[in-house]
Amino acid sequence: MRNKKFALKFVAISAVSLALLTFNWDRVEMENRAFVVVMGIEAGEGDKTSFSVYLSVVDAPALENGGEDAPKLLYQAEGASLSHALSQAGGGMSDRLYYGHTKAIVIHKDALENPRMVREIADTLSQKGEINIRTIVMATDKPVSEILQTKPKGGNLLGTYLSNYFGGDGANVASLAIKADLEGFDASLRRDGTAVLPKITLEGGGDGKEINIGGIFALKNFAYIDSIPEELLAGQIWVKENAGGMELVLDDHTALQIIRSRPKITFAMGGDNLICHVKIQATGNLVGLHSLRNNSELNADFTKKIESQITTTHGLFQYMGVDGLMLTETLHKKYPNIPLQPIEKITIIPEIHLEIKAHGS
Amino acid sequence: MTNNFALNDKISLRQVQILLILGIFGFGVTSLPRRVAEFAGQDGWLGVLLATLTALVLVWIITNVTKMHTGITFYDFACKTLTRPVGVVVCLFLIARLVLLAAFNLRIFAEITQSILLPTTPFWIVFAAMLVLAGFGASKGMEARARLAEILILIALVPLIIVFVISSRDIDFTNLLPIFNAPLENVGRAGYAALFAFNGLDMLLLISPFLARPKKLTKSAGGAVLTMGGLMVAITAVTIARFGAGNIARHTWPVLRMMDTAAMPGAIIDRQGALIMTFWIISAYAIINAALFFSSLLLKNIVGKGNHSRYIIICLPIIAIIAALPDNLTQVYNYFSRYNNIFGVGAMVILPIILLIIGKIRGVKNA
Repeated sequence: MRNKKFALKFVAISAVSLALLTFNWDRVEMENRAFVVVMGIEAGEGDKTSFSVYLSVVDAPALENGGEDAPKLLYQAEGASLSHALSQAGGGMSDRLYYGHTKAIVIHKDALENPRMVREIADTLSQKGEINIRTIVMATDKPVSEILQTKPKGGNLLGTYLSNYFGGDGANVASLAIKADLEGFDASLRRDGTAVLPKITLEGGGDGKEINIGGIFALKNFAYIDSIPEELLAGQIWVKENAGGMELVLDDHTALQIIRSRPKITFAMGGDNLICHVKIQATGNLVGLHSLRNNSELNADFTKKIESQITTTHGLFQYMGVDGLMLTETLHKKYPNIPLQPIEKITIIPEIHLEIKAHGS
Repeated sequence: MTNNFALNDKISLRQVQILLILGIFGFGVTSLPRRVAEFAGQDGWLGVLLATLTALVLVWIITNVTKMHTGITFYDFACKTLTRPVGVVVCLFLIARLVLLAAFNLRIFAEITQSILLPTTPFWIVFAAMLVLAGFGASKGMEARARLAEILILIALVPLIIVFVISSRDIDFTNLLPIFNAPLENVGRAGYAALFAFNGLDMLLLISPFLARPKKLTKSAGGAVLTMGGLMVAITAVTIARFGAGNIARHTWPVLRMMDTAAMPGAIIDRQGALIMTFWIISAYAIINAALFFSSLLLKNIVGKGNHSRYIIICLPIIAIIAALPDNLTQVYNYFSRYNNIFGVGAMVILPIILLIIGKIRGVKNA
């Protein structure tokens, strides 16, 4: 009898508690939520040490009609700090800004030239829990508002376009671009104050403007130092990624399409300098114009071309003093007993093992 | 009408394994890679391996103590072995250990819920919801707990394993290099820190009256710990590989961060934070429920009257108050670390060893 009384009391208390608990403190209806798809960051217009942020936002009702035609609302705000600018951007809105689906962050060169701003961008955004640390980070020398308002080819939202552009592997071999994400950007800056960001720009004018991705902006000592054009960056794909899909063209227009490649990096001391052996196993098919030369001649020419691409890219990074090929990190991981060397003291020696599988179809 | 389930408050060894898995694999794991990497860098997973081996030894000791008192309660056994006053003190120590364990888990659960799911909901709402559910479950007895655990483990583990496997796909495992680079002393310290991911092992001391087949307890509990240990080693290695030993310290709950930001194939779900919360909610429920159940049983044994349910009611507000005491998460982890050094080591290591030795010397046998 006593037990029954107790059970009744317990159930009554539980029922009342659960009824009270149904109040929802965090309820935000979908139609009251605005999704930030791409974020643009610039130095302030007047005060170059302040931040100007642009948010490309899609609201939920528009998304329900299909993402492709969803209206993109562009919000702009300025602030002395990045977090202030971000809170300003959401301040005047009736909808709640949500950064959980932000696909890309585009930073203008002006902001990248200021070391304090670079550190603030990396720190603020990587600590903002709502933002995915895998969000793509890109750099530009064009006004970010124009980039955010340009409709990419295929009619996608810019964020979706950029996310698809780099694909699952994180690299777009066609434009020799390697994805940089917020996590990597922040980690690289913390490691040695350097970073490499893919470049996004605009081509054409008026309504015919098109998004173009290619080349990189390099940062040293937390600030922009120089850029490298797309055509000189093939080396980073060879050393860091699988170059499958890349096309090499010789002076006589013979073309080779790489099926796949795999880099293996080893180090050895050579006097005062550190020698980095980059062994690459690659296979490819000849495509396009039929060559009359024999296989071994072609193999030697393509091998030379790959070697040249690797040494060119490495040379440029050496010149800038930026470890764009991540050689020092690899050295530390694989050879912890070899003292770390500045990138200028690392000589790269490519060893290419290329196999041409087929001459055309 | 036939009843397929015997209502005898006895549980099978498989149910013991499931309760152990749900009870052990809790919030300790969410910050485990960060804590071990702090001492042993990229070799942190070796610390977890060391902790798993230590936990297996502890399981052997604890289950042998448990087998010494099948059929009688832990309270009776402690009084018989250590004299009544010391036995009461030992039981009060275990009650404090369990109540504090529940409080820490409740607070960390509320912090994670606030961070991932409900940013503006007050803590007391989350506390109340969890305590009411866990208290109700605990009041229904051991058999009900075990049967519920059999259902919950599927709901909890399947999404967790799927997300974990997906998270492991695009990871740079070279971040685990150079291997065996950390000094042995640091691996040992990482192992010590990781041992508390097995918090709750000592609850095996208290389950003897509920065991249907106590003889095989060592093997089945060892199997559960080995499985969990293996999973913890894998999760730690993958998480360190994902963030790198140098950057992992920047994430409060690196395991949650890794799973939340994993790229799901097909992009049906962009952020799976809410999905993996399923597991942590169930895990928090299991730990708090177990702590409530065993602490109320011990209280009932000491007082010597009434049903264990009324002692649950006494424990609930105490747990909520203790959980609300720390000002912030840093303080929670500081207190938790001190708690582990005193109560964790005391309950999981020192007490079972003392009981085993004295029990053997005094030849304490079953009732």
